[in-house]
Amino acid sequence: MKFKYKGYIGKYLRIDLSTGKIQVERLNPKFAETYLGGEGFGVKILWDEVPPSVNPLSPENKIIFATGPLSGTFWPNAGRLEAVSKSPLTGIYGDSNCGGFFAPELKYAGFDYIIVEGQSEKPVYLFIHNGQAELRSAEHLWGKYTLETERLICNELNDSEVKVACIGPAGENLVRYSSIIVTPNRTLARCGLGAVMGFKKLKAIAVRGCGGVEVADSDGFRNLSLELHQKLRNNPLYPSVRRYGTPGIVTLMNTIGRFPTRNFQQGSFEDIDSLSAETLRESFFVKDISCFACPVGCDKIYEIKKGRATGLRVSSFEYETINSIGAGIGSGDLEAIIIGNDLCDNLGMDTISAGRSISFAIELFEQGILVKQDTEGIELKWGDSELMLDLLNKIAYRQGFGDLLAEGVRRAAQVIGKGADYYAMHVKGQEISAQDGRAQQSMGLTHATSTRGADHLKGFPTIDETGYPEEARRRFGEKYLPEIAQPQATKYKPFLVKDGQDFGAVIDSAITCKSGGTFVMAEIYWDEMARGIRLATGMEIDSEQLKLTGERIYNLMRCYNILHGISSKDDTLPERILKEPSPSGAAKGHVCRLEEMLPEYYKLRGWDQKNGYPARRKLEKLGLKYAADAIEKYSSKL
Amino acid sequence: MYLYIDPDKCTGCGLCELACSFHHEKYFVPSLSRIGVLRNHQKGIFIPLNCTQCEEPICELTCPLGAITRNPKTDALEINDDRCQGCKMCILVCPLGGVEFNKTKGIAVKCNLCDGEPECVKFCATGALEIIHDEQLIQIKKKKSFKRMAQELTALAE
Repeated sequence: MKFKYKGYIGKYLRIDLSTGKIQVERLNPKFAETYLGGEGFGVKILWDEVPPSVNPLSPENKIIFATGPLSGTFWPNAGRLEAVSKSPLTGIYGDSNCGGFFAPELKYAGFDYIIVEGQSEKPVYLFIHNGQAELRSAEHLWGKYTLETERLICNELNDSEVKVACIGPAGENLVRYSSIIVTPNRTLARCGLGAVMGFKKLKAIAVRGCGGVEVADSDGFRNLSLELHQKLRNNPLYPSVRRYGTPGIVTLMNTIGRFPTRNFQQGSFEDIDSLSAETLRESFFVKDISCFACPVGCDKIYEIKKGRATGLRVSSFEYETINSIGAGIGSGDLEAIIIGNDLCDNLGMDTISAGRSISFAIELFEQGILVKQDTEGIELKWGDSELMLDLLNKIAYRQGFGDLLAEGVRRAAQVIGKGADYYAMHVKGQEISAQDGRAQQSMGLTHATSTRGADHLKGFPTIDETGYPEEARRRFGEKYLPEIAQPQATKYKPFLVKDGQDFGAVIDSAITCKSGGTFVMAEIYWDEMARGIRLATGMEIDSEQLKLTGERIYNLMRCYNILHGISSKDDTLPERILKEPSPSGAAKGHVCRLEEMLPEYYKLRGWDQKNGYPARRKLEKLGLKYAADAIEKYSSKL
Repeated sequence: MYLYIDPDKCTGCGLCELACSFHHEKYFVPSLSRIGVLRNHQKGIFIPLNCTQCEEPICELTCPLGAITRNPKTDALEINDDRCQGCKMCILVCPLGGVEFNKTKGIAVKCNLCDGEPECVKFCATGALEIIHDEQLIQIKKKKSFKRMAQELTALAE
């Protein structure tokens, strides 16, 4: 039987690793209408099937790998994959999103999403191919690096077109910020989802399919897609995004003081030229590469061309990593950062949280809170690349001092005590990515209110990074100018962040990329997305309804977190960002004025000012009566 | 006219395969695309392969049913769906892998240059695919090799 809507396949897989049972189930059209795909599917499944009593590292936790209605089409950047689970790092809602080729292949193989539950006795991997699935032994793969794992699986299945999502040693060793590496070398990095797979003894998921994806209105969908491709290619920022990718903003962020340095002691790094995109390109560039259906191609292959690591190649080498294991630890050694990036990919570990854990430890040592007795005699000091590479390995294998850092900064600070928590730069247990709220007020609010803990991508305010009034005008008209495009203004920022979070929820559910025309090079907005989804699926949906969908998904993530103990007290930033004025760049003298933005943000959201709970009226308007009931029940027991 | 492919510019995004399959099959099915990209992500090698519309097409000569003919308007070699019986001889003899087999329909399929306006070229963002005419080919190749030589000489001089 054909599914009611085009764009979707209409089927999903449920895998129980405890029993080895594999079920093919039918997608419910109402479910697709209400939660769209990707993140929306993931959070609803988590809500229904993974209650607050479940420990993230237990057989009862589940992990969902989801596509959306645009995945597998030529809509710009329609190759992204969303993974959702309860996070071992934060203990609340967790998700991660990456590019590459896995998500379209899953649809071509005949499934919209996969739910993995239970725990296998022995290491296994899941092979999905043309409507079928099987569990295969992964005992020979356990302990292997991720790239090697991918290669061995392709060899074993005798098909180089197989797409793989796998974990490395860090995931096996339950490092709380371990990642999942996805063909070709893209990363589901945040929230420690690798440890969820590691706990389940699921080394990898391999997928191969020769089917396809239909859309409802062929001509309409084709014409709109082509128009957007052309708009993107003609966007003024396109040449630089294409040429440099995310490292292109390193120097700019340093200038505005938004480039966290030495565990956020500073917002700019004195040796920035050695980390610049120009230096990177000049010394290491080999080739431009793209994710599936991407006209931008922000990814590059870089290679170390001389010295000890000659021939070492990396891709998906991003701004975040240059910061986290570069300036973040006070190092301008680009070669070591490349080696560290390769190590994190192969070990299967989030470079952001790993870097932040290391810089946290170095600052504790500087402050005398940690001493040599605590670190097995290792002296921790800024700018020590060798130390960084050594610690990455120790963390992944939980050796010695690395075992503590593998827990993430929040847990490590609790163990260390002595005021260490002041230096733990996290929100809700997630280490802060490479933005400093003191340099861009909206970014502070984004970090404080993101549903997966500190994270720039849920709200992704780009318009006021350095001020893009033209993009602001195109999106919002004259109404909010000039403040909305000013990094230090707090006025209108709650609106900007809320709108970005709701729009981002749709982008992560549809699924497309936040760097490809939706946030960076802002050509695609509510109207274009609503038209695209309507043309692809045949659903009667306009931009106003799509806004409700985005809000619904965002609120459901929030409600899930509330049942896990989250409230307004957690919507905050480390004291350093709120009280220590930035010493750097354009941000000099500023702190993040969160208190000026939060009340307005709660008001726009329809959340209670006191505890930050979504109001019943709001939830019912979004069709989330069941969530309102659950919150009422929860708060009556407090 | 024919499709000129520059693998150096290809980034492996697969938009050509999507555009091709959508245009011809009416759904997104890269495995049925007439143009196919060979990918090695680790090495950064991406080679889009497609029919080059040979001057003396061995597929046309081999087809026992005369199903392959040249379209005088576009110079493209086209397969007549009704005549093709799916014997796959054309696939076997093509030295480039320029002919594909559509399992669902049971016939051979190949690039027909979309009647002169190839969809793959419209969606390609990198310029790896271009429609060119015979006389342009040698110019393009010359320019490319001069550019490479210039780079090599500059490197040598430094």
